[in-house]
Amino acid sequence: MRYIRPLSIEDAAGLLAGSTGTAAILAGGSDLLVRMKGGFIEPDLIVDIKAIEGLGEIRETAEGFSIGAAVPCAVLGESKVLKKAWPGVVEAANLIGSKQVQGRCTIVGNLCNASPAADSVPALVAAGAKAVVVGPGGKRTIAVEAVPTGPGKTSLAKGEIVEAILLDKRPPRSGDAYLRFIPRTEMDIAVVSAGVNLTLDEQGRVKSARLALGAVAPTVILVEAAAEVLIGSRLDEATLERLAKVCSGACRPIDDKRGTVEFRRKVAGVLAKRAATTAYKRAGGK
Amino acid sequence: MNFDPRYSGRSFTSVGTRPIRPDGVDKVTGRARYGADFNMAGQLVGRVLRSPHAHAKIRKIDTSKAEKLAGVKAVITAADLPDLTDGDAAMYDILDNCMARTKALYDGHAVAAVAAVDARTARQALKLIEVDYEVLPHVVDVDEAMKHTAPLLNDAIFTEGLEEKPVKPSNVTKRTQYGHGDIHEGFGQADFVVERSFKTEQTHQGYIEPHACVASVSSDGTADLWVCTQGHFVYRQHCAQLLGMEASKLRVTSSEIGGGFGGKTHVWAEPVALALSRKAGRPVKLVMTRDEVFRASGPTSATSIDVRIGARKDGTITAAEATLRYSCGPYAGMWAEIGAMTAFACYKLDNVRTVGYEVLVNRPKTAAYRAPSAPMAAFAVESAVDELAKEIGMDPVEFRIRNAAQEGTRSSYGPVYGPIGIGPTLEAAKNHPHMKAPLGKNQGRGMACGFWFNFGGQTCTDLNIGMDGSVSLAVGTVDVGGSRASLSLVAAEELGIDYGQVKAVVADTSSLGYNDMTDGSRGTFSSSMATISAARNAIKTLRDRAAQTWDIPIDDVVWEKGHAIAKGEKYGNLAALSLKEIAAASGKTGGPIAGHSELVADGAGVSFATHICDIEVDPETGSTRVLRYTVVQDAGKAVHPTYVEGQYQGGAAQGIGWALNEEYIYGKDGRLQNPGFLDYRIPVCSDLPMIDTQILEIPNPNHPYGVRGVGETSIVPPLAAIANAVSNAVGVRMTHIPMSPPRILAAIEAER
Amino acid sequence: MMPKSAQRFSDKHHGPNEGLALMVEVTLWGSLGALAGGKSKVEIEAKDIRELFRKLAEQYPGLEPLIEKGIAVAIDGTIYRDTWSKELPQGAEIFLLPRLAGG
Repeated sequence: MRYIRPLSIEDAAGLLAGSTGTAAILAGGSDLLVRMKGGFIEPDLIVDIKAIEGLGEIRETAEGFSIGAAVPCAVLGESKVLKKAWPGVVEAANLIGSKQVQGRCTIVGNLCNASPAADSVPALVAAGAKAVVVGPGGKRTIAVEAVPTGPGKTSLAKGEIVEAILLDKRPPRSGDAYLRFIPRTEMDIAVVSAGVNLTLDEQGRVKSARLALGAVAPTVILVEAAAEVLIGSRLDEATLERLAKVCSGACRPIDDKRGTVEFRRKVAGVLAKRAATTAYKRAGGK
Repeated sequence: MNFDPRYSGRSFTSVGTRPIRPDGVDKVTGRARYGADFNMAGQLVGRVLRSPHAHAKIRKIDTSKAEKLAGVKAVITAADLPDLTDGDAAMYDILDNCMARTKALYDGHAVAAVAAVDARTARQALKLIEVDYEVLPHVVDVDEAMKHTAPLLNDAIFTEGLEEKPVKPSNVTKRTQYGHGDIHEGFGQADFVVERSFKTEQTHQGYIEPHACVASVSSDGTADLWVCTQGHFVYRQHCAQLLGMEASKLRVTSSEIGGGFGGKTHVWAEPVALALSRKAGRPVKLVMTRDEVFRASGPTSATSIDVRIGARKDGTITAAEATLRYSCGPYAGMWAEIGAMTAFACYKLDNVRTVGYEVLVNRPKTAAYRAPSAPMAAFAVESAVDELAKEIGMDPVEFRIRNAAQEGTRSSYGPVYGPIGIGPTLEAAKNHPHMKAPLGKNQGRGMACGFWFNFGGQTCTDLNIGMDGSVSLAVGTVDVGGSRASLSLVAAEELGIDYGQVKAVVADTSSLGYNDMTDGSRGTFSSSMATISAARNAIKTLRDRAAQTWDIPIDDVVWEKGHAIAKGEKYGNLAALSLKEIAAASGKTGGPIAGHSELVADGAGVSFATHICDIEVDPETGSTRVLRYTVVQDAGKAVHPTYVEGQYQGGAAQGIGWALNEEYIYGKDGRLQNPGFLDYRIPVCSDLPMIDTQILEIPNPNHPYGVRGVGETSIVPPLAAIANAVSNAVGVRMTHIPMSPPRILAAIEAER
Repeated sequence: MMPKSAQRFSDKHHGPNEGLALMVEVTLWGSLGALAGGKSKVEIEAKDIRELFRKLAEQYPGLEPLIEKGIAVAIDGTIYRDTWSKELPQGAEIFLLPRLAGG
């Protein structure tokens, strides 16, 4: 096994592109090391990206925020500006793992691990976040929902690395929220989750909306029909009931050790209602 | 032995105080050595190959490739553990469970093992072992396994205890029955009858420390075993018997223990480690992974229980019956029988009958789990009792008080009770402020009672007094819950010295006579009795030495507050001699001063508890939150109240996990789906409220200080108390444990 | 202070039967009774648990393997597992139980 800690993203991409056996990217390692310890994978090459300049930073840009691939989730929680702009994204990122894991895990790792139950992903999808992908062919920017394609699978080509996550600047009267269902209070994996991002008009009606559900399909899903239900409303009781119904209907869940089909459908609707209500309040809606 | 174990009603100086435990600093600083913390020069890494099938015939095992791998020092199969059990069926089951002989009987059953120079080589070697399996149909559900059409685990098993001898083999190894009176007559007198069926899923003790040992067999046939266990003497016996060794040639040292709860009363990997070491000629360290602990140690039974209870309008129970089916894993057990004995033990019943069925399934071998079998039976019975109280229109506490067993009651398992503590725990619960606290929306309160037998057993203790007057206490019961602190308090009490002057250790099997395991809540009960006896023997020697020093008869010397005192006016000029002074002179007065004791600590006395629990349920998701929890239990005498409270809280915490989320989940293929703490959900800190405790002290007449065992009873009521609370919160009777959110939500939806 | 019940209970132990073997009635639990020819109660002349076990095995050979494996004796409700020398007080209720596992 080779362990390399390159200093540039180009070198990292080059190493991965040139590797012959199994290669893995190491940022926080909170998924990779667990899998290695459990004997599930034995990579021939590990590329540690933590020494690459800029990957450990959150930058405020003219367009919004750029979060480097090696920024631990705990650091997101400590960023006042980010928390103010995107409280839903930050609360989702801060739910991953335990206190100790928070100091290591990253949202890019969470995205590229491609679990349908990943906590930060529904919030990022709802937020319309983008991923900056660097590879042998250069740099491209894609919607985060285009990264995972199924459990454990991504659309990234050999040698490609997600360098950063981009979040837009917030228009006024905007709010987002993330909720997950776990049987415990912490240290668990979402059985169902929902991320909601809303912008209101001056009258307090929903102007734009994005809603994503986690752990109810092979990937996190963006529920466009939910946005249609929300837009134009003030989140009255009837809208919320319609929202729950649409979200439950959008689920394509499975029965497994973490929950049943019926449970996931029902709770997806409940969480969608609750997350939407929180996002609406955060956007200044009453 | 001239030791008098009867309760003496004395007052205490040390006993009942709360000093810091002697093992505390090492445990919080990481210096304490647990099973995996011991190492020997030249030690190899042991690893076990396990069956991926729930049920399969082992046609052939080819280890030749693994043996050829560089760094592999030994590969063993069942052939390296020949059957030396000489017709002892229980030992044969242990042997077969340690290493499958002809069939793999569950997902995770050991089939071969290797010892190699490092973990990587050992892992590679496992991959090179070729096992030719013939996969057989399997059954994991207790009710399914009882059906005539179920795959048979063992076609040599014919159900015992039936009126007619069965002609066909069965997965039911045994039927047992308890009770008295005439239930038909009893139900005839009932105005109200509640009848329900309940299920509980299989749970694991969930100890944080996995099984770990280092085995070293010398070429002269002697051996050392360092191991995490609840009973090193029992491990020695079992390992020696399975490996054909003389017990005295196997020295077993118990490490610190990161939880056992019954799961470390049984050997799993230890005979394998010894066999590997014997073959390799080097020490072998074998540490089970968490995955292996879940798949291949000894969880408790999954159960299916039918209960029927009848009562008159005035609230008197007239009849009670229960049928209890408990899974045993692939080997015969007596788990349903214990359930049948304990189910109605809290109540005064004229007509009662319980029937137990022991059922074989393709799951790991069931082992003891804290008051084994009692929590599931209590869940079913206490749920039905609550429902019956509701139907009659009586307060559930009042209903239980009215029917509670008392001194002179014939217990449901047979004998007539002596003085017992069920009534006082109920009265204390009734008067507890918790009972009167207001409840909010979607909140429910539940309460339940629990019973456990408690045991004593064989015990041997040494008390050695150093020349500086400090005291070493060597005990043979493994300290699982603070017993070294408690036993030091007892030694200090008896000798009349400071707690700080006593240092207790758990001695290895070559340093002390045989001790039964720390099970049946016996650790402090039994070893405190032996410690008192050893201290009294030491005091006799101390008096003798003082008498020699003074040149007076020993009968004129008494022992008071840590001093020898010459009794009577004629000795007015003799100043009292302290323990320290006598110890300092011991080299000249006859040599070292020690007290020894060996005894059978019997008469532990049965134990009762009452728990109260408040729960909030989210009616839209089925999510639960335990808001408040109170344990009331009789300790006889709390030697170290903090550790008694710890036992009460620990039992409640484990019970809360069991009640709400913990369960073994098997796939259609018979493989365990959740062998890890991520998906086998024991509670985390934030899942639990502060668990309040109330210690009652009704002295045990059969212990000098009145001590009773306290370790197990606290896990008996929680399943029922929580089920009653959830049922009250959602208005639907919950009949399936764990009450995970999907189950609660489904129950609520079904009612809508 | 010793509670009244405890006092009374232990008083029973103050009156040993001075080594005299007495006729005691022994109740057998369900499956044990089947091995003693279907009896649920048997009368045995015994002064202590040792003698009780010896005579039970003599009179009901079917019980011997079980006694060998371990049986518990409840004397007035208190369970004894291994104390052969425990005396059987006059008039006490003697109840045989299976030996149980604990956690």
